[in-house]
Amino acid sequence: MSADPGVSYRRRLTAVAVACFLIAGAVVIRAATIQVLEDARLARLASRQFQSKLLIRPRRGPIVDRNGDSFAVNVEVKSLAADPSKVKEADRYSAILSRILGGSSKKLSRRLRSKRSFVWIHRHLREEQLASLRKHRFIEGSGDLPDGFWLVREIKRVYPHGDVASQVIGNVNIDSEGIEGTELWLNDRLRGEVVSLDAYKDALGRPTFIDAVAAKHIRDGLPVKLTLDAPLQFAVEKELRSAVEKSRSQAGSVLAMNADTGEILAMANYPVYNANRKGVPASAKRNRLITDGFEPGSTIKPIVAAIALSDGWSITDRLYGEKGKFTVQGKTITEAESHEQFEYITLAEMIQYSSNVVAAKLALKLGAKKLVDGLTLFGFGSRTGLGFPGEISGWLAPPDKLKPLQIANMGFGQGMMSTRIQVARAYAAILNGGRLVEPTLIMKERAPDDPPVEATRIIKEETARRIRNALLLATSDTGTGNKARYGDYRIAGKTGTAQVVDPKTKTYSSTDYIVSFAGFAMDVEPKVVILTSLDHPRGSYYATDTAAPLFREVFREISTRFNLPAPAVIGKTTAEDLLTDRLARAAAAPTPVMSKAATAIADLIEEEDSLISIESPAKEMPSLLGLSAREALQRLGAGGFTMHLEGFGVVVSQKPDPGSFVKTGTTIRVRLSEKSGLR
Amino acid sequence: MKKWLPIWILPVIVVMAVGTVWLRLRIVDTTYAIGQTDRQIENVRHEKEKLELSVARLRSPGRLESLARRKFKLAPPRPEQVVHLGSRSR
Repeated sequence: MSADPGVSYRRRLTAVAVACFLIAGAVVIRAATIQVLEDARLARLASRQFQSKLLIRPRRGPIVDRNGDSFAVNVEVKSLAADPSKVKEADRYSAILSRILGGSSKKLSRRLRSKRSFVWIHRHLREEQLASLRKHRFIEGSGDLPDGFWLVREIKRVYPHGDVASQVIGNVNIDSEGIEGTELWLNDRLRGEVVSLDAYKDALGRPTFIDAVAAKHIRDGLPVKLTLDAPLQFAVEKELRSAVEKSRSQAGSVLAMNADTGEILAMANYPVYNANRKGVPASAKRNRLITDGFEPGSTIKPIVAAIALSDGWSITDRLYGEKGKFTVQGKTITEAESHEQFEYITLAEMIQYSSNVVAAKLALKLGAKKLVDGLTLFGFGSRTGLGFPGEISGWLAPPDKLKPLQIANMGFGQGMMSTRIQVARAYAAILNGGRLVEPTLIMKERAPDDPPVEATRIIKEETARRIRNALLLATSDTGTGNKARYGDYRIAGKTGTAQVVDPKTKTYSSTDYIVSFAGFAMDVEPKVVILTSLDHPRGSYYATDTAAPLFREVFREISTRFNLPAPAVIGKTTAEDLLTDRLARAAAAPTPVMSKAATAIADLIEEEDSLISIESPAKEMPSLLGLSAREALQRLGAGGFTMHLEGFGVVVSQKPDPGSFVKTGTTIRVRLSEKSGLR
Repeated sequence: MKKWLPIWILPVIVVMAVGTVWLRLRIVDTTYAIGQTDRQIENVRHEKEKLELSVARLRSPGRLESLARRKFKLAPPRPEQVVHLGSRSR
């Protein structure tokens, strides 16, 4: 018996239809599950296919000097990278690459077999390395590389002046992050804003859509303008190197700073290093002017004198020099030279002759509190506010802990620790009329009508003037700093030859010294204070023979660079006379340079009809303080001066002041006293 | 039979679909163009940086001094050989 074929057909059709619906339903349910329930996981998988993150590293800001000359710039370089999973023949390529780029073939082979998806093969390829890669056809003419390798464009920091100001500029690591000097100090400003952007990429990995809103936040690093003057810095470093080599010193430093604004014009240290090179010893990277402490030695004496003047003393007050030997707590303080057996000398002469005994006695008379408070006021014992990394504060003992011997030692700069920049800053206060400026390395644009830089007044203008005049004596023929004088300039300054503690014996070494000279030229603008310092010179180690001549050479460079005419362009009545005289001397010079220079100067004069500041004939006023009337008359010699005497005894004051320039024929008023001024 | 959708809806949908695709393609094209321009800008910037580096090296005081000494046989002036022009001291 057979079934109805029509019924059988409908049943089968129904079964197929149900099956189709079930399958379709399953597909729909599965699709819904995928779309709704597993959405996040799959979205992540999908996004990997076409989304990517672009890390935009902005350009690092350049570092320039006060005139805009580049100290640090960026250049594009190429680096070789690889994806080991895509590299075939790792051994062959590692052999080729190690031959071209150097390094161990085995190590490179291991890296090319690692499980990572990205490895650096060589960062910052040099041009010759790239050429070699092309020559060996590792890089094809079309620019293609073997599978798994590619070139990455990177930015490299370059220092075009090499070792000039290297301790100030510092350097960066391979990822352009500052690790030393200004590069580290102002890294946030120089680096800019690193931004990560969302981007869609195509099959070739090229971005097809970038988040434009986020892209707006990319900010390149900002430039940094330093107060340094690159040509001056170079010249100062050259002079420093020459002085270090000549004196066979271990190291040296020079600082030149504008005394009114605190702008540092040159900051030189030796040894130097080339920031473009790797593997530099740490000792060469130190900015010794701010990171190294030292006992300032006799350079502190004018500061102690200034503290005394602020306490009511007079620069003509006299102290007994104990004929060169002074005993405190069983220890004998002596003068630098055994023949220096001073009796009564004034504070001005204490500076002029650099008397240790009188400085020690002055410190003792001031007492621990006034001395330490005064030194603190001058900025010793605290950082200068420069902000540069590594600056130390130095050290002053608390007044209540100081014993008489320590107080006496501090009078001539031993038993305390300062930085070289602190000494320069204290002298800047003397030069600028008594204001303690904050040193700065960052140039701030100032309009001519801007108010002057604010600085705390620490001594009176009159006190500063008296110390300046005393410092002029220190560079006179009989002063310890006479070798600092240069040309017709009125150089004022003080030498310092400080003993150094021998780390082995824990006592002062009899062979190692740190010598220094701090000073300035008077009556020139801008007012520039200069500190020179040499560590452990050999041979004639006195600052007189080492640091003072270095000061002279540094000042010579500064006067030329900043066109500082000497105030004593004296003895000529007209600009024509002066120039004729100079040109005549120039013409007599055997070197070809001057014939060219003379021609150039003459041309300039014809074109511009320049006038030079002219003064009447004048002479430098010698110090008569502490002398008898007869001695004073002898010292004035045949200078054409008229002397007006008042009183009896020794000279306690004189007008005009010592060191000032006065016309011949001027009447010199001298006051003598038997007791006044004696302490 | 009732017409439940107007006849014009189909071309509108087609136009919108084509428009969307066209817009997307334009975005991609524009992004490529921006990328190309960015690369050109980068190249020019790199060229500028290279030139700046060259200028900095040429202006380097060390190089200038070396040139002055070797090529032009110049030497630092002695104090009496220096004449300051156009400047006054106090």
